[in-house]
Amino acid sequence: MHKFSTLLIAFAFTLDASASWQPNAEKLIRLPGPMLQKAVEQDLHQSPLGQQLQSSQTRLNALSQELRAAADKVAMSAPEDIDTRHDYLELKSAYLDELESYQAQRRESLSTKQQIFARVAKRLRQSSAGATTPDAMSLPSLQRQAQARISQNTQVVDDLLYPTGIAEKSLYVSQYQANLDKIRELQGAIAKHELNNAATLNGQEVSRLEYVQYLLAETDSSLAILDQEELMLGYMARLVALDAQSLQMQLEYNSPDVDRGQPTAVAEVVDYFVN
Amino acid sequence: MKKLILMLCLTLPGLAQADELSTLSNFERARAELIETYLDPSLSADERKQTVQRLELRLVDLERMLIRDHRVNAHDSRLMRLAFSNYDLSFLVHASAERNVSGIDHWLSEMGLNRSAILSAEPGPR
Repeated sequence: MHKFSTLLIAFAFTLDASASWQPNAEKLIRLPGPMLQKAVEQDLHQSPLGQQLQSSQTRLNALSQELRAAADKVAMSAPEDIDTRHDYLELKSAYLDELESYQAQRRESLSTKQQIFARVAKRLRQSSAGATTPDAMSLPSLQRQAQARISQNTQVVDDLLYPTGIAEKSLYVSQYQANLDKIRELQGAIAKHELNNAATLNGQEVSRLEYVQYLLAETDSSLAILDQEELMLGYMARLVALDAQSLQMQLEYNSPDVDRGQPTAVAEVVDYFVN
Repeated sequence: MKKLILMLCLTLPGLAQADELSTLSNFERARAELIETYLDPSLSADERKQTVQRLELRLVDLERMLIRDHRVNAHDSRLMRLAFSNYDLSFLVHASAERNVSGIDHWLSEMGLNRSAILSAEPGPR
């Protein structure tokens, strides 16, 4: 009897405070879009928080199976079998504790992802804005104009200054072009490198900024879903409390009013609590 | 006359004192030397031709080095802007080759010095 009162009073949802994830944002920011997502997931997987998430998920799966078995047992038991119903309620309570902990960990991981993606997007926006600022009189602009002009008449100048056999080309002139060719080869290889492959969304190539914004939107969606799931969790907890109260009243007033549970993970297990 | 031209040469592009980026100071040193050679009355025609040819060969490399130098943006100064804001006056060898005229003709033309301007000049206090 005392056990039911305890069950009514306390739903101790705990989160292991030691679990954390502190990704190296500077390292992640430099990665191309698709690699960024994989690296973030990998970083999370290897972190204490990632380990906690995995073990919580494993425990939830096990509890979910136990809930299913307990629901079947309750369905087959006699209405006056209070111990079976009490065990079922305790199992529900344990499941909710674990789910609360799991959701807090998910929220932390999603918030951290959100911060990373927002930071990358901000950095990309800043760099693209800086690159397109039209300032014809800025030094970079003036230098680009000079480079464009010099590249147009390099050959003319060379022909004038180095007529065949009269003057020997300087080391700079002779080496520059050779090195430039090699640099272009290297640039070509970099451009073709798999890490520089453009990210694709629905089969369409998108810029790195667009891809990161997509990841950010996905993370926001997951957080919104998590909010919804937490609301469900609250309702489930309330139902468990009502079930426990009902069981207590049944014992006290010999009322046959007891619930029946039915199987399934967050959305799936709602049925256990709705009945 | 020579003093006037040298003064104009030093004040207009205003690059002679640039010592912040070695590419710029090397470039301007070579450029000043070339202009001084253009105007040196003590040189014979042959001596001037040979010296100018040697100096232009050196200056052409320095012009390219400065224009291609990726450190230019990090040395954004008045002197650097002056160098890049007047391509025709700063990068003499390339600009004169572009117009297919000699370096001295190009420089005098950019400075606005022609026969009638020089002949109509009057001495007076600065």
